[in-house]
Amino acid sequence: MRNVLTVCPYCGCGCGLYLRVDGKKVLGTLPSKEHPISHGQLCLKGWNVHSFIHSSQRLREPLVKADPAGTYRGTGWDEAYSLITKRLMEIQKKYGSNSIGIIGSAKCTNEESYLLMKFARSVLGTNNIDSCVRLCHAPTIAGLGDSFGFGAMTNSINEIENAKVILVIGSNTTEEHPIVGTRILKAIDQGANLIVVDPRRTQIANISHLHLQPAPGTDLILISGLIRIIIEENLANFDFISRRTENFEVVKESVKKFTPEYVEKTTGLSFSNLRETALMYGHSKASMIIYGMGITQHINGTDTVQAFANLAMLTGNIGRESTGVNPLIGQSNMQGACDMGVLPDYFSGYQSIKDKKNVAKFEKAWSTKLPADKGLSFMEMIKRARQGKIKAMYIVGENVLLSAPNINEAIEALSHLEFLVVQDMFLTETAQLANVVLPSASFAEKNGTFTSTERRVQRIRKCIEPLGGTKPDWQILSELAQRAGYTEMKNKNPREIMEEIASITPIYEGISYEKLDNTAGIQWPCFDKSDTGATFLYKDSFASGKAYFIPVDFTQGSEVPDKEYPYFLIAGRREFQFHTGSMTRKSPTLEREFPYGLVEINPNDADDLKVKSGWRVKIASRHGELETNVSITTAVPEKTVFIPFHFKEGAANLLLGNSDLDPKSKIPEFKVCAVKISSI
Amino acid sequence: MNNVKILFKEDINKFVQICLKEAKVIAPFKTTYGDTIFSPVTSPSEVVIDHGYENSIIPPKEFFLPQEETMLTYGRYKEGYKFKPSLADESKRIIFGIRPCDVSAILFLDRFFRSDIEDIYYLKKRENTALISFCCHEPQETCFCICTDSGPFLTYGFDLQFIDLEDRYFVEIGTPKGEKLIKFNKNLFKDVSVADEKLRQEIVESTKNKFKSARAYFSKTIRKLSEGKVDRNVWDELGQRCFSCGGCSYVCPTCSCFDVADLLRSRDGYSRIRTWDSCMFAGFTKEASGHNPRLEKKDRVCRRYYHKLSYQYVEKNETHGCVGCGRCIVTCLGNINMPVVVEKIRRS
Amino acid sequence: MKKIIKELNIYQPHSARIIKIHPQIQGHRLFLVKFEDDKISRNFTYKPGQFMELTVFGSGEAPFSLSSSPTRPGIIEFCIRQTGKVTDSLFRLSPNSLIGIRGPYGNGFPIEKLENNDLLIVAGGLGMAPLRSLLRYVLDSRERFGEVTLIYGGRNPDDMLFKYELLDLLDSPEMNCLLSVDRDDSGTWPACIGPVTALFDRIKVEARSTYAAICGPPIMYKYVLEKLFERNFSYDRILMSLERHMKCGVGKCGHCAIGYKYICMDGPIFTYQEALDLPEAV
Ligand SMILES: Cc1cc2nc3c(=O)[nH]c(=O)nc-3n(C[C@H](O)[C@H](O)[C@H](O)COP(=O)(O)OP(=O)(O)OC[C@H]3O[C@@H](n4cnc5c(N)ncnc54)[C@H](O)[C@@H]3O)c2cc1C
Ligand code: SF4
Ligand code: SF4
Ligand code: SF4
Ligand code: FES
Repeated sequence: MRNVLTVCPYCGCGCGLYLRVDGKKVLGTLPSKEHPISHGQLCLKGWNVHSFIHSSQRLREPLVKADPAGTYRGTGWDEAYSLITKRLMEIQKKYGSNSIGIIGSAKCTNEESYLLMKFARSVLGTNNIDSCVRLCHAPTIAGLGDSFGFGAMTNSINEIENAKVILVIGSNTTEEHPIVGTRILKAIDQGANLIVVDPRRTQIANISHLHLQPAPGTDLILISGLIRIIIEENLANFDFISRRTENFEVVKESVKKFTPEYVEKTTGLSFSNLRETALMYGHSKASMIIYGMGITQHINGTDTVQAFANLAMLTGNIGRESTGVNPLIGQSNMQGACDMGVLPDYFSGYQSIKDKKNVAKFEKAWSTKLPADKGLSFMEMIKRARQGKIKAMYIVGENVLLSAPNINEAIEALSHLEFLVVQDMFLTETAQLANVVLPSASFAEKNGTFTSTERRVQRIRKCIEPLGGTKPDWQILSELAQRAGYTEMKNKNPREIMEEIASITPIYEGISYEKLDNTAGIQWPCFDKSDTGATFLYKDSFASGKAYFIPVDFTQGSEVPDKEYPYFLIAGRREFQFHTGSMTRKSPTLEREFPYGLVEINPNDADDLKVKSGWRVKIASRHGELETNVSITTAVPEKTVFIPFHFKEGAANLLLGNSDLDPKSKIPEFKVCAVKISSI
Repeated sequence: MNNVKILFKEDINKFVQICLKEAKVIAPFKTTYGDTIFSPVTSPSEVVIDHGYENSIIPPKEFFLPQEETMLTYGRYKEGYKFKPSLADESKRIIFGIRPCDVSAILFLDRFFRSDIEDIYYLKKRENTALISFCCHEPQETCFCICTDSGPFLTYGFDLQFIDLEDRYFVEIGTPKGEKLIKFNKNLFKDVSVADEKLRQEIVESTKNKFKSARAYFSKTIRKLSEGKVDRNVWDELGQRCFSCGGCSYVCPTCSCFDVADLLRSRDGYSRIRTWDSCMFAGFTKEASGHNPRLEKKDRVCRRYYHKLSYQYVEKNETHGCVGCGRCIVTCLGNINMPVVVEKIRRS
Repeated sequence: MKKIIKELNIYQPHSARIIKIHPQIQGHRLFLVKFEDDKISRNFTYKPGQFMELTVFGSGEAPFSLSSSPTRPGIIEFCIRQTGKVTDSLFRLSPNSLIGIRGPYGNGFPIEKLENNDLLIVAGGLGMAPLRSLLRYVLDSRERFGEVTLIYGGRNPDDMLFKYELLDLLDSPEMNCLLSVDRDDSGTWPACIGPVTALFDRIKVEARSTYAAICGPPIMYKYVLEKLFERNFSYDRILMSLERHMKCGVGKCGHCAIGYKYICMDGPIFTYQEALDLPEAV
């Protein structure tokens, strides 16, 4: 029995765990006690990570679609590579490089993400590369990037313990990021005040001191209202504002319109609660803002994130321990995928492609010519594919169909393609549309690094050889690039790829496997060999000197309930399943815990609708409809329903539209949608 | 006295070497990362039994009831289906350096898996395994075996028990199995002198004083719990904090619930697998009708502590179901653990 | 460590063959099963109220009550409702298919105690499955028991398990068979129409010399118990069959524990008196 220390592949907390390996089998999981995040603890998903590795549903050989009816034929790697390079080159020649789109994954390692972006930009010659971050945290990357410099958590998970006031907003923390949840509990036990803003009464809301349930989609108004109150109550930290920030006056002016009356009317909250929140947050010297996808997946996503930044700067709650603006990133390596430049507008380390110097630097390093035009984002690619302008897509480890809003449109888009390649461990719904499916190895079968939500870059380690017939994603990409005649991607191993990353990515410059092997990870930025990383950012200065106050205003999305569609739908994640469930649903324990899709309905609404727990209902929106089971609970307020998005049998995304994109980050309006419900 | 011996510390490696020749040795192993895990070892240098070594993250119950165990395999044959039991290999094993609390827990599990109907998957492995226990001299912050009467010094249960007397070990022989290991190596083990006896006594006394005096007072709690006199608020409060991670059951050396699933694990057939399970999951009790007798987290927390502490179970299991190892203190995401619950109930 | 007493693997299923499948009501079927090994088949015996673990290859194992009676050895019967993974695949099987089977488990009805007493059997829904075993047993050894009464109700005639078999018993001199449906659209139902509770008013039972055996959905217990208390049944003369999520069937997996009892070992048949002592039972 060997015990291999690695990192949990599920949420972004980045727990350290041992996989227990007996010969060729991974038979168990146990938490590391010395690890700074897991502390001998794991959530249920973590305790069961080993259970999907040997699933009989894992793909074991490359598949090629044999006929239009969708039957697959297994082939060798050689044939699959030939077919892929041939078809991609043809399409590239015929329609140009920008007719190809690439979608990366938040489950791949940094090394793989880096290779994918290199592959896209140098082999395929396009900047059309993006990942599901567009569907989760693009507003964080854009918003915090503009305000502070980096689109990442400003502080660290362990600092939460010592915070005095914690504002949790749009995050079902105990279910989505359990380890962050434990730190919040600990902080409360040590006397901290917790304010939770969430339309649903989640577990964390239950233990909060103050639970605000604003109308869905109005968080920006709420935050702007808080800013106004703090200014009026004279709690602004003018010393900090003048020393470290710019543009405060404009924001001060812009929040004037968020009068108590206006805020009360739009959010449905009482002014006294707002004032209490503002005073709590403003008075404390250790106030942390923690937010999740409840904030970002909105048409106002980026603006709201920037409003958080304004709130933090206003009170000087940034640049110190136990303060800051802290996005909780949903997946194990979503942060890493962004860091590695799986983005249409950045190279690795957020080096903009708009900057000629960067382009030149990468062209030199990769000895190739790079495209200069900004690429398409995830939703734009889907849209163009539907219009027939994107002809081919290359998707790595992402079940696009279940995670993209408006599944019907996504299916249509992918079916329109002339050529689709999917690299995945399972024959997911998306893979079933592909022309070629390449079987990838799981996280237990490869080396690499993940970057957690708190910017912690840490090693994942190979425990067993890739299951017969599969290959790690990095190897597939490297081999494919060579097939395509590109010789700069002959990578022997992930260690070597990391060396390359460090050599051209300043925030990763000081990171190497030697250093990672002896630590529980390094929190970037890590600029040189002696640098041990940063637990919190912006201690002495912001990325470009001063932080910037950005005025924001509220835009009403098109998804408002009306007579025909009277209910607000919120879509989200539940604790025992993870994302689209392609891994978690293979675990008997996790599947048993939460086996079918459901819709949560308030008892009063259930009375109105005359439905009972367990009944089937039809839910329809302006974009689609689905059937699911009713679960009656007071956790959702009246006129609001909640649907988790893990189940193909009742995928919330069938209902969501995608016409409303946040203009700044291109994230689709994801969290809210107006629906009607009828019993069947 | 002939059931006690002395082993000088400089000879301990020789003894490990001998054990390695006799059987597969499982010992506390320190990962490069500093975590202690029980693991099969191949040389004495891998065995970490320095003074006050930390107990493992998960208990040695995993060697009798593994996290995942194949019980049977079956596949289609010409003449139909055949079930092939997959009983563990029957080679001898020694768990070297097991802590007294975990020995007590294994005795607890022995009784459980033997009672009424015998579970040979557990018992076969158990029969082939000798336990060499090392008494604790430096209790961890979280240890409270002294309150549960399951350590740090045992009077029975072990095959051999080692007590650290500075430069030598005081070795107590608990069973013929242990006796045999010593008999083979007469020249390593010396006779015990009166001074050794005296020192042993002193060390036992002084060690007991190192435990934070009575971390948990059980008797009042047991009474309240058994008579159903615990205030509902206690469970409400605890239920609010539970994340349903199952960790408390996974790491508890006396928890033994399991789930069974038939999985396709190779091309030629299915495996019936049993895995650790936990009463902290809603799916643990959900019935075919959809009805769930323990729907809420608070009901499940209550269940766990009822099982560990009620008279009814104490009578059935001959003791309460906690050996004071403190692992639930470490692993619980919501800081719900034996001492906290005992204290809450006592005060309610 | 004491020696292992029996070198017996309790988890090892035996091969068995489905001999026949009788469709019952919507979503329910009666499976007739025989051990492949004749020796096992010959020596196999059980008590009414016991259950067995069936394996459907590739899907898993689940517990089902025996519906047949040991008085008719050889073929054993299970009345099964389709609810999920295992039962779905079971319903896909055809006669002559092989399944795995182990058991019998559980305590079963305390037959010795029941002997020479009157018997009141009250069933609801699938609760008829174990009670049919008891009924057959009693009718097959009629002389050992006193008066026998069955009360069984459903929403409509299509809801009644073992319908024809039970209708045959309506005029039986051996017993008093009371069947009732809430509604009968077909107009052909030969027995009572109306709530099951009404049937209680038509029976005469002597509480001191009668045992009541009840099995059905949780809501049924409530009103049946009320009726029995009205007639001064003592708690230890009421026998009920409890159901829980089960895995192993042999007291090891922990799933079926209620309070300090394991339904699979100490039950599934409990007297009301015993059930009262279990904190989570009722
Ligand atoms: C003592 C006993 C006797 C029974 N007798 C009969 C009978 O005669 N006829 C009959 O049709 N059914 C009987 N059942 C119920 C039967 O065991 C379940 O319907 C069956 O386990 C469902 O399995 P499944 O795989 O088809 O459903 P699954 O897909 O496993 O699950 C469906 C639902 O049932 C729950 N469940 C899973 N396993 C069990 C289990 N072992 N016990 C209870 N709930 C479970 C699950 O949590 C889930 O909610 C009996 C159960 C017990 C405990
Ligand atoms: S899912 Fe998140 S909290 Fe759970 S073990 Fe994995 S990293 Fe930790
Ligand atoms: S209840 Fe906690 S302290 Fe007691 S034996 Fe179990 S894990 Fe150890
Ligand atoms: S360890 Fe704690 S949080 Fe996890 S299930 Fe047990 S009581 Fe709940
Ligand atoms: S079914 Fe396993 S203990 Fe009862």
